[in-house]
Amino acid sequence: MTGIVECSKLSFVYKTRQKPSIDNINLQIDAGDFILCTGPTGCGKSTLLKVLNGLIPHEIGGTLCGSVRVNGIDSLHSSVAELSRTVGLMFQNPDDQIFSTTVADEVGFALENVGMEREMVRLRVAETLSWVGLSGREQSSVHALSGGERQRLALASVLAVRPRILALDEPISQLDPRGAMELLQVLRKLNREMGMTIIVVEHRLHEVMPLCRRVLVMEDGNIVWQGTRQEAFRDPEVFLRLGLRIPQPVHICHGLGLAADSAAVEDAVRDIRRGYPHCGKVVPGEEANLPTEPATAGIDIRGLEFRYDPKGRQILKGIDLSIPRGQFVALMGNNGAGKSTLLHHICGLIRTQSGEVRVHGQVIKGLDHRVGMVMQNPDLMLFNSTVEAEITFGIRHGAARGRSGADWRGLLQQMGLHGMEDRFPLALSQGQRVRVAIAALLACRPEVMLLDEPTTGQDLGHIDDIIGLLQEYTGGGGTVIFCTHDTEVAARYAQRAVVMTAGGVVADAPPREVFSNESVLLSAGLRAPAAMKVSRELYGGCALCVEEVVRHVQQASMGSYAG
Amino acid sequence: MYNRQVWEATPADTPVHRLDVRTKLVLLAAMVVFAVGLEGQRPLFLFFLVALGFHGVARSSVERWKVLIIFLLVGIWGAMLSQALFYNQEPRTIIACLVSPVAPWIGELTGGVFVYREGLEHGAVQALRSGIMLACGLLICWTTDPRQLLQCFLQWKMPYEIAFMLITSLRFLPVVFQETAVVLTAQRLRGFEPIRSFSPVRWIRTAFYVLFPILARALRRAATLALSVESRGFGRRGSQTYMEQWPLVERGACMVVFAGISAGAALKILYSLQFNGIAYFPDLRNVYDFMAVWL
Repeated sequence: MTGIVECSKLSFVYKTRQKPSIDNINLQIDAGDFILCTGPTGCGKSTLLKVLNGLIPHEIGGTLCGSVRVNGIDSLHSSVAELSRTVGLMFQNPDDQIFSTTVADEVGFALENVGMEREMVRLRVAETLSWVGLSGREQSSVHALSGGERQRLALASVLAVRPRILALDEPISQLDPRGAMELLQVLRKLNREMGMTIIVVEHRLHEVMPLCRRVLVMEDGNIVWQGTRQEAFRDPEVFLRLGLRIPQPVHICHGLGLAADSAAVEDAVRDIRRGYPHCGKVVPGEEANLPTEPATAGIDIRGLEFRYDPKGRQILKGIDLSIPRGQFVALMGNNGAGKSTLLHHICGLIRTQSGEVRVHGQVIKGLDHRVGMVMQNPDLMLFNSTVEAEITFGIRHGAARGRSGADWRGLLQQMGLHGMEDRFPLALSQGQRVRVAIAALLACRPEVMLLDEPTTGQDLGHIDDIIGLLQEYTGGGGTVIFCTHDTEVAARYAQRAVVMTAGGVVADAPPREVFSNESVLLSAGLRAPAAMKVSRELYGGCALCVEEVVRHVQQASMGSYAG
Repeated sequence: MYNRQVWEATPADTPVHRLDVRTKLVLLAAMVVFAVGLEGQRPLFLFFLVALGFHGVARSSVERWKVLIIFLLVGIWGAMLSQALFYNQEPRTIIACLVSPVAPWIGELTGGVFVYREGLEHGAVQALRSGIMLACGLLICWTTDPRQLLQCFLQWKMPYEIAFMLITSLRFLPVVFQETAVVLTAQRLRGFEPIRSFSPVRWIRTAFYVLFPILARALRRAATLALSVESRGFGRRGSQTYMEQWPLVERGACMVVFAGISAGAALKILYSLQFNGIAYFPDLRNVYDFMAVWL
């Protein structure tokens, strides 16, 4: 049987590089398959997608060797316009690819490019929008859509021409859990009900893996592993070696020496029960929250209310929050919950309209250098010509006023940036850019650090590096608040989780308590970490991370926890 | 600056929004020709009011009016001030002396700095011209889908690369404004306060600090947008781009406007011939009078 995609001895070297980005790849993808392609940053995943729809070599210069046939068409000898009817390519950030002002115009763009009649365009647009759950929004402004809706619009705009293959480059990396879930459900429907072949490149594989049929793992331009989803679950070693995050139920089974067949919590519980019949029960003190020392005032927020527009929506609704020094707090909630606005108040970027914010007892009235902030988009924080200049910038310009600059070379080492001192920061990978921004802030030793989605685009090893440094910082009396959508990271590392919904705080407690409260999670569009669900099913526990579950089961099976 | 929607085209159901993109571009071109060709203050002012009137018809938001007024005021202030000080045509009437020619050192160096009445008037005319163009340009940016603009440019045989470059810059200009504000904020967060400094060196350094991240982001965005539209079948080799029929009424109106421009140009030529003593037609005396007063 011939595949819908066939690559033979495929290699490509970008004009500006010496090393091939993809190197001697042989690949066959069958029609109707759902493929997850993953691997560390820079391994060649996105390049492979661009080869499939002809952007490489027709629009992006370089040297391509080997052959690619897509739906029987030789992509090297067909135009991008021709291939676009077979392969739809969607990019990471919807804001970078949306071109029109209304939803209907955006979806109709590709159809106009194939010369379709106006009435047909209208019908096709309506049908496509119904597939992605945007029916009736034809005349909406693209600005009126949420992040998740914009990503589904971007998907609709490539689906409009009914490509046989849909290639998606990190489609959920910018989305909150709700938006990601909505998009993945659409992809599932397109694949299962319409037989569309789907190829997804994604780092958040713990979310995509349960949907796909086959997995490709790339490293240094090569496919180093490929197999079915079940095979990936049974043998996740290669994923862990590359710092890729696998679904927690699979990770737990792997930690217990069991082969998992699926990422479902109930299947993992069944498999663990088979392998470890005596899982015991939670013993008193096993899942106690970390002891808290007598609190010294860190951040104190009282009755904070805010609107951007006097007649507009209330963004913050009477926030009361007290965070002692040395605490590591995860601030969670869906997009639009008011998290960033709250952070901007704490660092003094926004003046309070009602209520007050105090840092170490002093009312914040304007920008305060005792508070440092890393924004979600690291690119906008990097403006020096070398990594060294970037990291020492705050020290040179007085942000470390009254405090000595941290050992920035040590920071580089700890952040995995050693040897990059002379590199141009904006030319680094996204993960590296985030780490440079964090190191630049840490070098100033602020008393409070605010971080907006610091773990986006980071693999497991680098998340550990970043969190390790931040924990060291809180150990020295600093306070950290980090916004995140990632419940697994928040559960594993935070001492406290604050959940916001529609401008108010709906939960504020240790993560174990917050993530046990299903109704709070539901209202904030969050999901409890799978490890917690496994522990609950397995032994009535409330574990925060994989290691806790593995440790409990192993100890219970040895007898020490046996109920 | 943070509100990106102030800068981006937004759909609405107004007569201006409903106009075909080709009609808007022809009207813009006509306004530009008139603004450049007219010399009288009164007609220029009338055209300026017409340009502002279009914004009223398009129901531009309060934020957009604020942006427009700020740009116009800055333009008027800049043009009038520079012309008032540096006007070098004769006759010119001094209405104020800022630096006396006999003032030590600076007076000798500059020969005196004066405010000229004719300079102020000339500056006002220039400001009205640039104001008309600015108001019309912003109106098109705020009311027209970039996709339609691109299709229109290509239909009019503009080279693909230039058309796409134009549209990309239009599409990303609002983002650049927004991101500039974010970069300045990021710098303030890290202890750099360029805005509060009066040092030119610091200002230059700030410009570089702002340019680095903005340019890097803009390049990445533009590359992604280009790949995105190419992979949706749009490109220099594509010739099937579908564009709606140009409504007959609008096309007719554009023809009338074109005829008006041609008539205006002919009258200007006639007036110029008479003014320079090359050709005088006594029957056209009323036309000459009209030209002298209005055009």
